[in-house]
Amino acid sequence: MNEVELRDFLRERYPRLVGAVALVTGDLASAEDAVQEAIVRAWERSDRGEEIALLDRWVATVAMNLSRSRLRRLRVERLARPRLSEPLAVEAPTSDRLDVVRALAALPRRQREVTVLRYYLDLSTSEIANEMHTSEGTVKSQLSKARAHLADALALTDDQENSHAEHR
Amino acid sequence: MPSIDDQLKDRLQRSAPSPAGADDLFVRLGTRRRRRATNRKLGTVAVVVCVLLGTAGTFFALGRTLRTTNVPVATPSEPVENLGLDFPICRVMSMPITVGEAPGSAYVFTKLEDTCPKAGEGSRFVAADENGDGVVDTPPVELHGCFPPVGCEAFAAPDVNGDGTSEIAVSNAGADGYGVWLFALTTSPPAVVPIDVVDPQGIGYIKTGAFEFAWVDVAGHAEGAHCETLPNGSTFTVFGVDKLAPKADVRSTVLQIDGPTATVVGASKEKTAHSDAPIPGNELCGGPLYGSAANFPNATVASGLDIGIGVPLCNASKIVADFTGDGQKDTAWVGEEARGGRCSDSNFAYGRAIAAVDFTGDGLADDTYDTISDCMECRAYAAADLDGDGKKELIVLLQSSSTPVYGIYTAFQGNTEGPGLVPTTMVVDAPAMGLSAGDPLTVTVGGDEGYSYAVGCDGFPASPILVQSGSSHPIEGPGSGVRDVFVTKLKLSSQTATATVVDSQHTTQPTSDPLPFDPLNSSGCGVQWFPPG
Repeated sequence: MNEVELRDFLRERYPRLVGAVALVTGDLASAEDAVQEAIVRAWERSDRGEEIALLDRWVATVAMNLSRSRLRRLRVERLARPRLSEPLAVEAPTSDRLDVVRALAALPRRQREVTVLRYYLDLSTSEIANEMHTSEGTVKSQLSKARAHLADALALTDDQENSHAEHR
Repeated sequence: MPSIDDQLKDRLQRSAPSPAGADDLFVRLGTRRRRRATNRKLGTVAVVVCVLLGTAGTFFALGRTLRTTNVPVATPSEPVENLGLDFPICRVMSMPITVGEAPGSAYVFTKLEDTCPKAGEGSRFVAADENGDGVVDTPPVELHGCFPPVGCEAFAAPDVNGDGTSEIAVSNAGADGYGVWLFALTTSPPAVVPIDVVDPQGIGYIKTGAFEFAWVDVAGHAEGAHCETLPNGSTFTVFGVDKLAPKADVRSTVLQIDGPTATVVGASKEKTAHSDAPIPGNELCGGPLYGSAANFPNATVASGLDIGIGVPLCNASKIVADFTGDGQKDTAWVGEEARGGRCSDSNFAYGRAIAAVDFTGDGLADDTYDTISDCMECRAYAAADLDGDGKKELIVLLQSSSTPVYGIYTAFQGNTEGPGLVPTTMVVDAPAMGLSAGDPLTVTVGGDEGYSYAVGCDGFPASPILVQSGSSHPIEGPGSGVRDVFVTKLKLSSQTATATVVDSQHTTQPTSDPLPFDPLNSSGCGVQWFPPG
């Protein structure tokens, strides 16, 4: 990974990856920190001559693992507090965003991760299973539970499902 | 109306927060990388010193000298200019073969692309030069199922059926050993042909179709093959051994190989003394093994370990200490469970590991084991009596980084939990450590921009109190001139596997003042916490 590739990656993929991890953790600062740490680790591996075939997926997985560290999250939040108070650093949350964040926060961590990987990063269930070292069946089951909860919490309806329900 | 799936996609896309623009992100990541490298060097120095001292001590103790062995290495024959193929090649391995008593060579190689693909990647082939003229005579046969890090290799080329022509064995290195495919050589026309297993009586312990067998020898299990010369011809036996107590279960399948067909002619399943059970070595039917298998079984033990949990333990680390206070040495392991028979890269952020312990000395984990879910390059790190009760606790490195994080495990021999390791948990909140009551105890050392951590110890060894110190301050802007300093003192109890906060202090000081602790040299309770050893 040379400088041009890394700069391209940071420009094109970094914001989306931070967004994904932030949806899981509910915290932007720790998401930034985790994604940056993951990218640095990927960079080190590249320097050692190792290749990472799907860099964005690799960084997403590593960053989500990193973000599980409560201590890391705590100290990043603490350090970032003064920075986050600057008006340009964060966008004011809309009520829609707050609803989504609250609905996600009510999910168990694994369900949150599969939801974000599926609906935000557009990974297939088999790709998610591969990234999370689990079976596709488990991913589908977690997604199904998460989907039901989110649909309920966000009052999502589906014409097709409604018509099925009416027929039933 | 869009489907629920589409609505969810849309809502998540609109709700994901975006990081503030950072033009200097590349520079900041470079700084971060250099800092990680510096911290790692500190740790490496400690590791090198420990390894050198340990190695020297071991050789003194055993009175041994370094031993060298001659290892058959599959090397490119000269010349290897494409071996007469119509495409460029690389990663060429060769083995001598005989074809009707005449010498030749078998080759395993990779098709050259823009650059040479890494081991286990790209298109890999096997082919043979049947007359020794340096040009392959057979069409190359592509090998499938070659995976990193080692990939497919030339394994062996013995004459397994005694017909004067070699069979060709090609391997792929896995976590615990090798998967081996067997090929036959034909001369009219010249070809490398996969051998097919047929089992007309349905008696064999082997799957029919392409001939595959394993070459593995771990604590509870072994597989391999050997030849026998009988009055009615040579046979090839594939065996599997389950090393159970008190005897081994041995399953054998006897095959007669004739050209590209291996016919199952016999099979048995018996219990034998462990000393009588067959084991795979570093030869097959009198011929040597090549490539990374040449050192077998040494080549297989580093990446997978059988501790009786049903799957190999990968990237295993262990600590031998008295965890029960009975004066006997116990063994604790930390590692990752193999998935699909393979170990992940030890540096990969796998996220899950297990901690297991053996009190009985049989080399197998006792009953239960704990799963560590927040694991980054975990390993068993040290053993220390952190509560002064005469029993040692296992200290597990949970996250290897510039701020290493440790967890503390207590060994239980019975009770309701059964024998095994359980994590020490917090009885009360420790907000300065980011822990709530009921959380597993973790301590942190080292530092990064704007924050530092250290672990120390009061009252060791009689009545130890673990001291977690930490400091933080913004690295720039408002508040960057003052740092918060936190000290949390913890009393551990291995009887209940809990930790209680006995003192907690929060002070501030100018960042120009020296830290009240040393984050780069942190030790206490008999443990070198940083740099990690």
